[in-house]
Amino acid sequence: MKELKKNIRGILGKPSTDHLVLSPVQKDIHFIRFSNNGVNRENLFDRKVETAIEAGVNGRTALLTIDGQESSSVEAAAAKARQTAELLPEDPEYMPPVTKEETAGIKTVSIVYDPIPVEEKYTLLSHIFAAMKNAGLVSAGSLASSVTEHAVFNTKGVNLSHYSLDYALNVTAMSGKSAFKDFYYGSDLKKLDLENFINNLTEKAKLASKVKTQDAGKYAVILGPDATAELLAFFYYYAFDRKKIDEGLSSLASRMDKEIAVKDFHFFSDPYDPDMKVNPPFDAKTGMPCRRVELIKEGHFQEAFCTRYYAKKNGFVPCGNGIMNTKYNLSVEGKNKTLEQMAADIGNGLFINSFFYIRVVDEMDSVFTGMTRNGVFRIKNGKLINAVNNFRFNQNVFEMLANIIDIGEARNTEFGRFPYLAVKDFNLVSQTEF
Amino acid sequence: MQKLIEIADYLKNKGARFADAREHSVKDRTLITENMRINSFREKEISGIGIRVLYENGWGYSSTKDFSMNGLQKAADEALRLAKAANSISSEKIDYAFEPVHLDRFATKIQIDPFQIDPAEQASLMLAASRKMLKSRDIFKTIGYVYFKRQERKYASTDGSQIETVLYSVLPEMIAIAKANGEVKSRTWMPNACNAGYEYFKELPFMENAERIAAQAREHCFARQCSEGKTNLILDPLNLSLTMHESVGHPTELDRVLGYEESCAGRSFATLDKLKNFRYGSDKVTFIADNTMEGGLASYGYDDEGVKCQKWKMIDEGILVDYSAPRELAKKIGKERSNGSCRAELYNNVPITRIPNLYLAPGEKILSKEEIIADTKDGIYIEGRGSFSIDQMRLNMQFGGDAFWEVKNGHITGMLKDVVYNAISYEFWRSCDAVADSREFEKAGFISCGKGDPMQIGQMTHGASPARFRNIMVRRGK
Ligand SMILES: [Zn+2]
Repeated sequence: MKELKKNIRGILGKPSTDHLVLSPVQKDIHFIRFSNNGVNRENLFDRKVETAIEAGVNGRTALLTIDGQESSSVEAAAAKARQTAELLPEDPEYMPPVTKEETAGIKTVSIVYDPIPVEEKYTLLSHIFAAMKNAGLVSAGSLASSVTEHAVFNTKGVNLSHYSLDYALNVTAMSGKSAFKDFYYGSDLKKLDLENFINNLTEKAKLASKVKTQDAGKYAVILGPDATAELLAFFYYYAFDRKKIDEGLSSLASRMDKEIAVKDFHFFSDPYDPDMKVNPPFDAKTGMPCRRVELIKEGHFQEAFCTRYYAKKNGFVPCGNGIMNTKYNLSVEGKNKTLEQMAADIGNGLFINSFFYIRVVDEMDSVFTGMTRNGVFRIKNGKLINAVNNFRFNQNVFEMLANIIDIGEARNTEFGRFPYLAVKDFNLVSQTEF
Repeated sequence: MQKLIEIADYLKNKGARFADAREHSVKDRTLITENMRINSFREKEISGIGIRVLYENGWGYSSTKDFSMNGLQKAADEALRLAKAANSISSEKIDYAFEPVHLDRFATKIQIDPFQIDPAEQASLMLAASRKMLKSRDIFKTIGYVYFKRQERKYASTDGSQIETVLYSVLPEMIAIAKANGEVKSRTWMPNACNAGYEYFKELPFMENAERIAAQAREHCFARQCSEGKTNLILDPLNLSLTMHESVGHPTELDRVLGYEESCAGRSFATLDKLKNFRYGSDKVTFIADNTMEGGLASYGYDDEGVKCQKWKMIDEGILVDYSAPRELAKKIGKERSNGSCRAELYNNVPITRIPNLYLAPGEKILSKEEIIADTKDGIYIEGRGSFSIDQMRLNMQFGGDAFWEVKNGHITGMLKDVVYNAISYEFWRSCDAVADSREFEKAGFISCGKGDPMQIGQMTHGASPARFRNIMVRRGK
């Protein structure tokens, strides 16, 4: 990246086209995967070095991605992108590059390093393995550390660079066919209270091993932050595309003015949340700034994402460049209430820790299917008393949002920050054998 | 190749029990059309060298784009450092199955390199079909998609193998979306994705399928609601390809069987104690794995640990008889040799256990799809891929489809909508009572099988003749 930055003016200054956008990414990853209480799967260093090059000529654009950042290869790819663009038909949705003025308000983070030595991470894992073995449990999971720099340079003077440091620790503790999973996502691994983490994992995994059969049906459930996050991320991906809404291809098309959630459900995307820095606060391909976007507030749909072209055509305030560049900055506002307090209030029902293999069943009504995974517990008289078998759900998300009875504390997950969510009449349609 | 051999030797001299180096270059092109517009044209090129090392009982992996001997040694040292760190907290003894030394080359047979063809020409085929679909009644959106990929590998290991492969893959797809009768429904034409050259794409019958899918997308908007309950299903090869991928392909991956995928892809109900005795399906159900299949997406010549591609039975007349096994895990369960099922997406990915080309063997009795339908009193005939989901042990599965027709008294009586079928996987395969013969056998390639952590995308070909399944739970996907 350094060499490219040094020569950037020269590359962008070549007179062949006034539409050239370079978006290099450099990502250094140390990834340790484990299973059966040992490091025996993917165990690797990876430096990802890519540059996407968009060239435009006479209302046509082509995008080439190369896996390097040397000035000479970037220049050669830029020439090829330009030639390719010339071969394509004129694009009625052509957009010139983002301007320097448009990116003026973006707040980026400059250089960061991973402060934790490589070998120390194996030591951390060895503590987890030892604790699991002691408790008669088998652990599997991964510890990923990554330092990423996203940059965008273009012929309209845009010059952006943003660093992020991210850790992701996932641990599943198994006992026979039962399991419980816990996780940490964030930018400071030292904030992880390992002792607490291990205690919670051990306690829940032991409870998970006492499985009683439970019939499928509609239940009052508390969804863990991981479960809430995954289901709502799918909902977001299918429903919150402004163009699809206008074309009648999103479930929100027929629900724009209707009440679609309980009043205190607040769903938004915030690129400047200090604990969620996975994405840069701009579209990594174009440099278009992201901003805070309210998705659902006070029970109603507020706003959805669209491309730069679509925003310009329809007079919307731009918010990045489409639905994908914000998918990890999602949040549902949480409340100051623990799982135990929520269980005490709900009295009877189920606690679902995570989901697995969620897929859309009916896009026009936002019906999703999926399985429960890594811990389903029966709540009786306000307490988690035993584990039950896993279920398949077929759930209409709008019905779920209208059936929310309680919101708990929020945690960072893979998709952003999501809370425990208590919902009545959650539709568990069939059992599985474990 | 010389450098790859040297780097494997370098690691051997530093105490590695085993090491391999893979130079892996991938070039792909994605072209998407939306109505009469090229929505996106993207090309990507990625190349580098991945180095895998086994030190005592720890694996380590590192990769580099620096092809100099210095660069390779640096990456080799990094891989060794991680292998030693893993070994220091290892919990089990690692060994790996023997493989003869191979000095060989393998390439997909192609006539035309798709990357030599002007993208506008490639788009024009899809745009012409799109124009035709848009003229069709109530069609308001069309999507065309084509993906071309070229992979080139050079492989050397401390075993002494030196292998070079070049693969070309093509994935075409076309979608018509109709709006009518207060409904929005789509219909997809998904010709077989396979290892082939541009000539395959060029000869595809876009125009006649454009007409068909446009008409069926509209018809789907007027389809009757399906009723819920148990019924008989007749499934076409494309629908079956997804069902077999999830409920036979993944459960027979040995890494899942042995618990190594617990944290991500999950485990498998098809555990070792079931091998050679478990009734996975009816006696009509035989599954063949064949990585030597002409044009198969997993026909790599050799896998990414230097094992020659093979053909074997996975399920024989309903009985589970084998797994897909990489070298380490094959050894672990006492097999003489791996069956060549270990592949990596890119140079910076560790090779992992992968589903092979896997198909349901056609029925031996002369039997057509029409005859199966004529022999069915009540049921639903399903074509194409739809919604899909299965639990992490691969038991409770639920699938939709792309189009559904009611079967009554041996005849198709009209289109249905919102059909999903839900079953326990082995009970589903046990309920199979008819498989059409080889005249109706069709292949259906997969190019987006996500697995591994970090996630990698894998490709393989499935296949089947239409088949019938008795008494399967159908729900309304509403
Ligand atoms: Zn798959």
